[in-house]
This record gives sequence, structure tokens and C-alpha cells, in this order.
Amino acid sequence: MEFLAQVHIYCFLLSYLVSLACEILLVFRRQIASARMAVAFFSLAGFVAHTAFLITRSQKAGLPPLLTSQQDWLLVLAWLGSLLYVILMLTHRKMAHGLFMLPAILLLVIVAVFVSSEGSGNLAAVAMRRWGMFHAASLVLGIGAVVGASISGLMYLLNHQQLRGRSKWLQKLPLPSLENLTAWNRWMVVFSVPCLTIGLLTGFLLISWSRGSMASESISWWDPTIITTVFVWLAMVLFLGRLLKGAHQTGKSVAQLSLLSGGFLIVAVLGPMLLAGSGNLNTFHGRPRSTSSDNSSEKKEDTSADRPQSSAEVSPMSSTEEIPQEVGR
Amino acid sequence: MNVLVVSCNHHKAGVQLRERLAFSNSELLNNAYSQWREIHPGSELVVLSTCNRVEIYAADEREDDGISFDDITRFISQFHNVPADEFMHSVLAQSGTAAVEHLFEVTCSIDSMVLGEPQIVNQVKEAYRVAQENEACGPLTNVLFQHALKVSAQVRTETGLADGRVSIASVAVGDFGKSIFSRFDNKTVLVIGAGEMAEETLTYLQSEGVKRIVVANRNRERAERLAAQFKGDAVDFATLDEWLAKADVIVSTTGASQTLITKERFAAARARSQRHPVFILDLAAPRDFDPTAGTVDDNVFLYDLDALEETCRRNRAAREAEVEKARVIITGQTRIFMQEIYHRATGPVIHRLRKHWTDISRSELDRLYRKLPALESAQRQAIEATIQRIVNKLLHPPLEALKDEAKEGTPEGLLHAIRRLFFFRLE
Repeated sequence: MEFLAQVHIYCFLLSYLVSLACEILLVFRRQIASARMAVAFFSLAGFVAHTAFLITRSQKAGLPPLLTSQQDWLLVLAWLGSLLYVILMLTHRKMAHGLFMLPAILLLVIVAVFVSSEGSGNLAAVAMRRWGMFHAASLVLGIGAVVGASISGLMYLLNHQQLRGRSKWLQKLPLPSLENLTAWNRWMVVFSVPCLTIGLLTGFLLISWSRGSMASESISWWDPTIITTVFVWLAMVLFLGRLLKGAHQTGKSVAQLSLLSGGFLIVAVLGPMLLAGSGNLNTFHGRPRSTSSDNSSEKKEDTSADRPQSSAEVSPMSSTEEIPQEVGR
Repeated sequence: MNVLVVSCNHHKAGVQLRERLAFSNSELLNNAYSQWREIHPGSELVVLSTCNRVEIYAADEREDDGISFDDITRFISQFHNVPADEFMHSVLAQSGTAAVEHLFEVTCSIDSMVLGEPQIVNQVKEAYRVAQENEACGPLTNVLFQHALKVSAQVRTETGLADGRVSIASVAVGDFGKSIFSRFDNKTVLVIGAGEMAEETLTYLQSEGVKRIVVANRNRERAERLAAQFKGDAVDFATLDEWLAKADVIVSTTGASQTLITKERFAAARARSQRHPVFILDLAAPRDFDPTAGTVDDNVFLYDLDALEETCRRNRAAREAEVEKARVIITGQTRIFMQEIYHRATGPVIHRLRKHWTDISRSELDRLYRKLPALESAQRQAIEATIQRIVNKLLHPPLEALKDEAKEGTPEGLLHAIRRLFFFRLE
């Protein structure tokens, strides 16, 4: 399996880019069989490379991809999107799903390039890993659902615009029916709230546990990532409440709210990650992990931000495996 | 070896003549095949009979005494009891490359009344199947029709000739309706009026799975007739507002001279509903719905004839723009097909020539072995291999010449020369 180790993040990033370019070409020239084949080939190639990359990273770190680093957490989210896209591409070949899903996947992969890729080599406390995994997986699914709701919301709005005859340029865009998009949109919102709730609750449990067991290495309740995730959760709870209460709510207003949630998600979740990755934000997210076997990352952390080492914060998203490391010291 | 077509189609013949020459049912068609086999036992035949065309494809592998246009027209005339003079000026007769190209154009729907319509491929398939059942096909028609179906698939894949719908009702249901709803079996369709357009639209809607149809018309009798035709219910015209609130799809085709559903009336009906998506097809002229009724809420999708016709026109233009691409494919495929056919014609001569020379070399080898009985097995094998190489090298120039000549047509002159030069005749 030597060749798997050769896969770089740019391999699948470029594959997805080429696939998106071919999807755009297909909007204008639906009959180009070679473009259709290229979409299928590059999407599948990207997906395979993406999978190989995550497997390799996971094997190197000895941890599931969700727990290895913030970068891998984002890449898992992108991988889920890629998996869904490949399925839709193969089952609904005439629809332009790629035009909407590939930019989201690309955005996640590009952001992943700029955030911390430092992994932990510590495999202590298997029980805590399970909780950490549960926490990270819930949040990945919840945030994935918000992204999915936003994409289906955007597709709904474009299809609505197309059907109302206001935009001639949209006529060439093959989109799923409004009825399907409304259903997907609503289900994504409904699915995201419990996932985010579970993710946050398990995150809070992990924070309390870390504070109780080792006060000097505890995680701050005011960590920016925690705060922004709580805001995303609140927004989605309010959205769901409105969805369930508003009997006369049209698909268009639901789609608009979904799109708004997606925009908010980008600002609230990806924004802090990028800031943390560039060293401009003091958050447990994106901070390279300090492990006994990785002195370089310790050094990087020392110089990256003027925050006190004693109050290292634990992210509720991807870095919960930090707790056992800290505890284990 | 030749392929002939006699075609009576919508380009040159009126519907009356086409009706007289049609093979309109399977019994008639089976009789035709049976009679043809009796009259022309050595030839192949495929009859394509649709509402827009009656075409007879005949093929014959015989060099002499093959089938001719006269044979086909005489057959049509006798079978339908129509004097040949009455249809000769309205039919198209083509042979060889032109006949093959014509079949490819027909199968690809370039020759259809509605450009790119998909039914013709199935009609060609069905005609070919029936011909096979009647044992009227042979090596030529088999290859020809199978190739035609392949070309059709290629054209559909590589061009946009079949993209988009081009009739009002199909555009209404297929383009707009299916963009709003993913399924129709759980939808209620309200038909206001009982016009012809309603019937056509209901046919499309029913093919999409619509089960609940209600018809409201001032003339109760006509409403009941239309409802019965589509297994729906006729409702009192006075309850129209109630149904406006309930329906998911509304098809309006009344002959009213003034607006029937004003914005206020429709808004009042919507206020009583759950504001579910409603797809309205105003197929009346003048329009039954006030155009501003479409702005009552976000879930109202109102289309009138102009909007639908605009889409039809755009789709037709898009298909026409693809014709040239389709023709390039057809021309290329016709050339490939004809080369294969011409090359097939050289097959018996090549086979005979090779056999002739191999027989000579075999008999010479036998003589040699009798003179030199002490030759060992390995030596014999080496001699045989040498002789085989000599035969192959000697055969190469005439075979290559035949292959080259066959690109442009059956190389009759060359075949004749080979037969004369090597003193053999084809069976």
C-alpha cells in the first residue's frame, strides 16, 4: 500500500476542480459525452484519492480521521459530501448536482489546507476516544446536514426563479423538482438539530470532565469555537422551531432560511478555524497538539500565539482526544 | 448485392395516399411478407409503416436477377390494389448508399415531421422485429437495421437532437410540471372547461401517474364525458372556488371571453388552502386566469399559452441547431457501413482464390513428399511453412487491391478480372 502514502491533498483537490469545470461545461453543452465521462472519472478519482488520503493519515496517527486533526475533520466532512455527490452523480446523471456540491466540497478542502494538520500520536484512554469520536461524528453529521440544507435551499431558489421565468439563463440548468428539494431541505434541517445537540452536549461533558480531572490543562468555556458552534446550534434550533410551527411556510422561505444558515455556518465555523490556523485566534481548534513525541508542534504552539500554556482549551469538535493526552501526562 | 428503398412519406405524399398504401395492422403486414416471399424468394424485405410513412426496404445479394424498383412498386400496387401511376410521382426511390443513408436519417428522426421525436426508433425496431418473425430478413437487412439502430443511439448520445419537448402539452407536463412535482400519483388535477387541449394535457398527466381528476365545466354533460374518458369526476361549476383551493394542478381551457379567475378570487381560494404548491396551465385564449394571479404567493406557478409556446419554440430551435451534427455522424456511419458491405462482396472471391492457391501448393507438396520419402517431420514442417509464406506473399497484392477498390464500391471489374485470370466461377 505504498502508493496510498503518495496521495497528497492537492491530488483530490485538483480532481474535484476538473470535475467542476466539466460540470460547468455540461450546463452549456449537455451533449458532450466526453465531458460527462470526465465528470464521472475525475469525481471518482478524487473520491478514491480522498479516501486513500484519510486512511493513510488515520493509520499514521493511529486514530480515526475525525480525531487526528482539525484538517482531517474538515476533510472527513468534505469526504461525506463527495460520497453523496458520487452516489447522486451515478444515480441522477442528468441533474447538475455537481455544480452545487463540488464548490462546497472544494471550499472545505481548501479551508483544510490552511488549518492545522498537526496530529496526535497519543493513544491513551480508549474510553475517552470513544466519547471524543461520538462528539466529533455528531458534529460532522450535524454540520454536514446544515451544508446539505443550504445546498438544497440554493437549488430550490434557483429552480423557483427558473420556473417563475425571471431568469432565462437558468433554463439550461437541470435541477431536481421543487417538491424533492423542499423535502431534502426540511429533512436536513430536522436531522441537523439533534446531531448538533448531541455534539454540543458530549463536548460540554468532555470539557467538564477535563476541568474536573486536571484543572491546569482544562478547556475554557469561552473558547471561540465553542461559542460559535453554540450560535450555529441556536440558529438551527430556531430555524427548526419556525419550520415546525409555521404551517403556511412556503418552500421558498424555508430555502432562504437554509441558505442563511449555511452562510452563518461558514462565518461561524470555518472563520474561526482559518483564524486559528493562521495564529490570529486563540482557540483550542487549530492549535497544534503538544505531545511528548512531537516537540516541533510544542515549539510551534509556543510561538504561534501569546496565550498561556496552562489554559489550553479543548475544542468541542475535533480535538477531544487531547483530554486523555493531558490527563495522561 | 444491393439495398433499395421505396418510400411514401409526409414530405411527398398526402395523408390520403399514405393511408391507401399503409400496412396498418399485423395481419396485413404478415400477408405482405408472405406474398413477397412467394414472389421474390431469394430477396430480403423490411416494411416500415407508420402514420407518417410507408417504406419498403428490399435487399438482394444476387449479382444478376436481383430485386429492382419495378419489382417493389409492382408489389405495392398489386397488394393494395392501387395503380402504380397513382403513387409513382409521390414516392421516393433510392438505392445503395442513398437508401442506407435514408434509413439512418429516418431512424435518427431527422426525417420525422417532429424533428428528434423518439417514437420512430421504436417503430423501426418493431418493423425489423416483425420482418424477422416473418423470416423476411437476411444477412444484408440484418446488418443494415442493426447498424441503423446503433447510429440512432450514437446520434441521441452525441447530439441534442432529442433534447427538450416540442408540443404544448408535453412541455407543460414534462418541463414545468416535473420541475415542480416529483410525483403526480398523489396530486389532484382540476380541469376547468373541456377543450381539446385539456384532453391532450390529461393524457400526459395520466401517463405521469395522475389518479385524481376533477372536471368543472358550465356544461355538465361535457364535463361528465371528459371525466369519464379519464376516469375522473365531474363537479358542479358552482364549487369551482372550493376546488381551486384543493387542486395541485389546474388546467384551464374554457372558451370564456373574459377573465374567469381574477387575482382577488384566486387569492381568496388560496387563503383557504395550506398554500401548497399549485401548478396552473392556462391553455385558454383569451386567458382564463388573470396573469397577476400568479403573484398571489410563492407557491403559485402559472403558465399561459405564450409561455409554453416560447419554450416549445426554443426547444425546436435547439433541435434544428443539432441537425448538422447528426448529419455528419450519419454520413460517416453510412460510409463505414457501405465499405463493410462492399468488402463483404469480395469475400467469396478472396475465399476462392486462397483455396485455389492452397490446393495447388498442397498437391505440389504431396508430389514432393512422394519423391523424397526420407524427409523428416521437422523438414516437412519447414518446407510447408515456406510454401505457406510464398502463397501469402503472392496473395497479398491482389487482396490489398480488392480492399482498396472496395472502399468506393463493389470492385466488380477487379472481381471479374480475378475470375478470368484464375479460371474460376462463383457458385
